[in-house]
Amino acid sequence: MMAVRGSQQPNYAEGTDEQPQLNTRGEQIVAQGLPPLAQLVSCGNSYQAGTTTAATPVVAIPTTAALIGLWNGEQDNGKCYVIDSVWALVVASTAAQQTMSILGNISMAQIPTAIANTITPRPLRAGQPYRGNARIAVGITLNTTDGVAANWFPIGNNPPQIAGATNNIGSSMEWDCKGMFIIPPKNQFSLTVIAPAATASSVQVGFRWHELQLPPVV
Amino acid sequence: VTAIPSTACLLGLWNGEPDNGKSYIIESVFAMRIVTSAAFQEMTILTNVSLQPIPTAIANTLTPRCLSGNRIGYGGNARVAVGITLAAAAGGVASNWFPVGNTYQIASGATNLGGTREVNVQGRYIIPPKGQFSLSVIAPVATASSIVCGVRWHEAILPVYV
Repeated sequence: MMAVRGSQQPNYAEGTDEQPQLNTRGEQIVAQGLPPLAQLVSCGNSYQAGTTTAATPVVAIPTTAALIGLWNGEQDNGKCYVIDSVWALVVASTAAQQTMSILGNISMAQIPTAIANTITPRPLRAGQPYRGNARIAVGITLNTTDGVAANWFPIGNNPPQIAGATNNIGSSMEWDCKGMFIIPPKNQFSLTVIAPAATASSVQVGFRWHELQLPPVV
Repeated sequence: VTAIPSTACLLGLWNGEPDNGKSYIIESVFAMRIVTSAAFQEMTILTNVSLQPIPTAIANTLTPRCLSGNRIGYGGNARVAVGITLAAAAGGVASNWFPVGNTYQIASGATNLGGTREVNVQGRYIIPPKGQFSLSVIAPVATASSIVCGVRWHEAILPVYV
């Protein structure tokens, strides 16, 4: 049984037993308590990582070359990596008024061999050391099944060009993927950046992810 | 800054709760230009989540303001300070600074005073007791005294998962 709530909102005392409520249209009243990601990140399995040295964007959709890769080293029934967001940042000025886009590549089958382990994941919950089995490396080469132009897809909207700019340090883009990409055990998520000019050592790119046990993929 | 920093933070939020106390759930971050810098200039907010508990409180130079009106004063245990130094072991290294949000656009104009960025991070960053959340801003030119930046947060008891 649910109570109908009109214009008066209750002010319950702590520890009392109360009924869930409906509004006068018969809709159940539910309110978000904390920001959407708070409970998930508080579990302590949410991380971020990016290239630690500036990289060079590509000027055409690549094949096997990725700027950074995230490989899931869990056992076969282990945690999946749920991609939260991706980002790219210009750290050295490129050609003026230059745009850029992030390209993502999701492996199509398990990759049994781990990639190098050169980047340490950083926590989204302060003080949480990395305790998972991810491997992250920069400047990696994908296999020829995944590493084809048709398996790279743009993610998000490019940052606006600033007309008249002569220096674009600090130009960035971020895309909230909201779990749009899932990386099961032994699979890999790779990124690169495409731009009009391949200015050396000009961009950094990275991702945030949550490590969760999900129903097995069949 | 004009390059990703290491130990230098424009702003730090330190959680001074006891060990099982409230966590700080980051709601949003912002940066705004208050003095014009070089025209047509970009900027991006950089965030730093501490890697280990920081037992020593930072200075207490800024008073938090409540998001709910009609409430004077701050009753929590946060400390907020500007221009602080973050130890390398606690995360004061370039690889622990991450951009957040998207660049804003300046179509034209010789002055960019009032240009802002705000990013709703939706609780993506959790700062448990003795943890610290720090901010900086990267831009093409280090125009002195040109930017203010800040953070909004909620203080709540969260389950401690180990």
